[in-house]
Parts: sequence; structure tokens; C-alpha cells
Amino acid sequence: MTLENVNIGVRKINEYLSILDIQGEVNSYAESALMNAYTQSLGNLTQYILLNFEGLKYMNSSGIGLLVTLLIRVQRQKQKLFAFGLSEHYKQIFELTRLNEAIIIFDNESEAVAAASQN
Amino acid sequence: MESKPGNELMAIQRVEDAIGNLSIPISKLDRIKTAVGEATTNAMEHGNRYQLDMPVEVSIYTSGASLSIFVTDQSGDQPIPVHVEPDLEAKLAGQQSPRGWGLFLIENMVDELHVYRDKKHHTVELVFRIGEENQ
Repeated sequence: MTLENVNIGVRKINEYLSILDIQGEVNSYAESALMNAYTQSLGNLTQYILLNFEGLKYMNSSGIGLLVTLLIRVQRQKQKLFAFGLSEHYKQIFELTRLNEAIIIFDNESEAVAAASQN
Repeated sequence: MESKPGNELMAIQRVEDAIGNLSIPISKLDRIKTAVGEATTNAMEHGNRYQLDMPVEVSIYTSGASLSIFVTDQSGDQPIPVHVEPDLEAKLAGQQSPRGWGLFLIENMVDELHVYRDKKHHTVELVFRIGEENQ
């Protein structure tokens, strides 16, 4: 039985911007799915990675740790990480952990894409 | 329940089912579920080291405006690990592990947190005030 219960789709919006559509549970078992999706999302000019949490069912402290790991990789590449589609509960957790200071949160995809496109 | 990876979701579901008649607002319920999941994971992973024959017990008590959830593992005879307060900047700088958010989340989800220990058992009590929001 696998404990990984997440699917992450990759959409390359343009050469600068990719979206990771997260469906399911973000916990320690999501590591390979998330990191593989990030790798797939990369191009030579990629600057923005947008995390779509509209399909998020559950995220625990290990999932938060996973996002920190992703954030480290993104920052090393001089890229920026945005997020949208978070429920109020997970927005609050982003604030508690201060992840919202490093991952800019938007209410929806259009706002996130617009913000990324302006830079 | 058995100390088995993934069983924290079973604990969350059972607690949610058990308190379903208390009309707890969704925001408070989300906090309860997160705290129960983290406490159960800690009990199974750090307390019982995922040994199947070492169960974790979750029990629930309500009294008027208060809900207490007790999560007990079998690690009463083990030393209490040193808790490092998670710091995002330190983690991003590689000075702390990216993990280590569990207790921090629990502390920020509950209204009170109590820890009990005897020679065999280690118990955390997660206390939530529910009365004033139900009125």
C-alpha cells in the first residue's frame, strides 16, 4: 500500500511561469511528487512557480517542511514561489509559520498570474 | 490504534465523527483536526517509533465550554527530547532542518496544552474552548 496520496499536474503557462496543480495530501509522502513536478516545471527562463492549492485535501507539518525544502531550491535558482487557492485555515498556518513572507499568497490563479506577469 | 504511518488520518476522522454533534464552527474544527493529526503523528513516530505493538490511545472529554482530547503513547520512560523553536529564516539558511513544525503547530492550534507522564505513558492534552463560539 502506498501512502502517497497526491497528484501534481504541471502547466507551463509561458517560458517564465509554471503552475503546479496540487490535488490531495501534502505530507512527507508527497516529497517525490512535488520535487518531480518542480523539476518538470523548469525551463531555461523560468522565474515563477505558482502552487495551486485549490485541490488540497490535507497538509501537515511534514508538508510544511516540504514546502520549506522547495522554497530553498526555488530561491537557489533565483526564482519566486507564489501560492493561490489556500483555504482560510491553511492561510493562517502560512502566517503562523511565516511562510507567507516568502511565498506570496493570492486568492486565485488569475491574480497570481497577473502579478507574475507584471514583473 | 496501531502506530502505523498514515493512521493519524484515522484519528482525525474518528475525532471529527465523535464531536460532530457539538456544532463546532469550521474554523475551530480545522484547528482541532490539525492538532489531533500532529499529536497523533508525534505519538506514533517519536513516542512509539512506529512499533505496531505499541498503540496510541486517543480519548475525548467534553465539559460545557471545554473540549479535551488526550493522545497517549508508550514513551513515558524515555527522555523528553529537546524542542527547538522553528525559525523559517534559519531553515532557509540551512541552520535548521526544514522539518520540525509539529509541536509548533499544535501549540498554535490549541487554547491550552498540557503534558503528563508516568513510568510507561506520555500523554498530551489538547484543550479547546468551544462554548462561547457555540452560543
